[in-house]
Amino acid sequence: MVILAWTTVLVPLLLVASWAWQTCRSPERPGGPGDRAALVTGVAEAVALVALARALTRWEAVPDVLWFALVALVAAGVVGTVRRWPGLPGLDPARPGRRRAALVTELAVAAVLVAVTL
Amino acid sequence: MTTPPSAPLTAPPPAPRPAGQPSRLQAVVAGALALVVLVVGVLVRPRTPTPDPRTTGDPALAAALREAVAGTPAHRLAVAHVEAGTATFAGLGADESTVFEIGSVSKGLTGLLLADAVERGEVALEDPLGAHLPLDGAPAADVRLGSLATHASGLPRMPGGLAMAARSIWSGVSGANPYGGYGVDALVAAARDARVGDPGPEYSNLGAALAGQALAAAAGTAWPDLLRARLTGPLGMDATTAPTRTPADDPLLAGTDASGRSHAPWVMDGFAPAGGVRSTTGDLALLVQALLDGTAPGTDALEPRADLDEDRIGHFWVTSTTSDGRTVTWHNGRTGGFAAWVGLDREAGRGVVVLSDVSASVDEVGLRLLEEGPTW
Repeated sequence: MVILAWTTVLVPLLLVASWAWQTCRSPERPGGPGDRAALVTGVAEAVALVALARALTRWEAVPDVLWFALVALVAAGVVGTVRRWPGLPGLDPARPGRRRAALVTELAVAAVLVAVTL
Repeated sequence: MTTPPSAPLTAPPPAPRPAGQPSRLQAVVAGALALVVLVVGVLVRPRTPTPDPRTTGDPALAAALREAVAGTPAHRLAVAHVEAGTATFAGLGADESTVFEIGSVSKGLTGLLLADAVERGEVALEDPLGAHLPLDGAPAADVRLGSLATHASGLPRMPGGLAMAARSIWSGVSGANPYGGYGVDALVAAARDARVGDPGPEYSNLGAALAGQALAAAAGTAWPDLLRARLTGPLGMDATTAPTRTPADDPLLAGTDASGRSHAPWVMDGFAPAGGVRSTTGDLALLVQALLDGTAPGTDALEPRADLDEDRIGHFWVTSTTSDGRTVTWHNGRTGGFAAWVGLDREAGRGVVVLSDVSASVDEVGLRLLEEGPTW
């Protein structure tokens, strides 16, 4: 049970940390989000992961600091998102239709996850 | 002759911002959004419940309860201590009339109904399940009633299949009732599809539910009515119910998990004999007293009949030996938002009931109160 509790918090923590790292590192570096839609879905996915971790983790079995680490990583990712925002197009001009559909779908899934886990 | 350059009349244009360096507006927006995230994160953080500061009932027992529950996720609790024909009640934010879900303590009640039905000659422990439920020759039809009550039937813990798995996952994510709308017909259908493994001890909610529904079928009634007619009615346990739908003006407390997250009531239908009963410490004290006296219907269910890992088991009631050598007969229960423990030291003529509105084990609390004499 304790192992499961750690797993349900550490897996989201690693995923959110990876996302925060991608958004916070220098925009000049290759990789990272290619358009603003990717920035928005990144935030939505991070919030959904935190909501899932909150719902599925037995928090009495893990240190509280892990929750605050999750929240701090989301905050860092949001800062990186704002920093990258001006330099990116709204939607990837090479495939705007697909990007728009992905944006709507991912936002809807994230919104549902957050709604049911609250 | 040279003249010194005159002082500029206007300030020079600002140097271009290096690439990647945020503007002041960006920095303000980023800081504000990060602050919002941090504040929301603090507001919605998981909170392990703590015991309610309000005390009810016997002050000494309440103090012992508060001490015993220290370190356990708990909020509102009620406890009953029964000894020498006297029941003593106490609570933290709850009292002997507060309604809790008792989860798998319901199996203990099913065990009493089984022993009672055997005494009536209505069923036999060797009866195959198929004699009472329409299992159409499925492997589960050959399972014996008695083996269901000792978790030795070979039936799995829960029904298989994607539907039940999806219910469990959804319940974990949303806090919903995983048993809602799962009726007797669905239970019997699940039994038809169930794999029957080795008859070694395997705790089975499916088996307990089928045992209860088989008893109801043998009596020609529904399980909640059987419970009322043969056990809770005769003992005067009027607050004890097994609702198949959420009642209007539901008196049930709002239970939470150990992280403080609310969970929907586990209202059951097909699975009610395994975990669908609600009760109070007032009612369960009546049961405990009757079990200690030997006057409860089906008291024979307490007698150990088989091994269950390191313990012994009767008709669902587990008998354990404590570290100080005493014998305790007990059953516990957990639902999405509640926990329960009922235990008896039959030699000492003492029993304890602990009910909690947090889904975190209260077994140790119950054992501690049962071990302590009435000198708390």
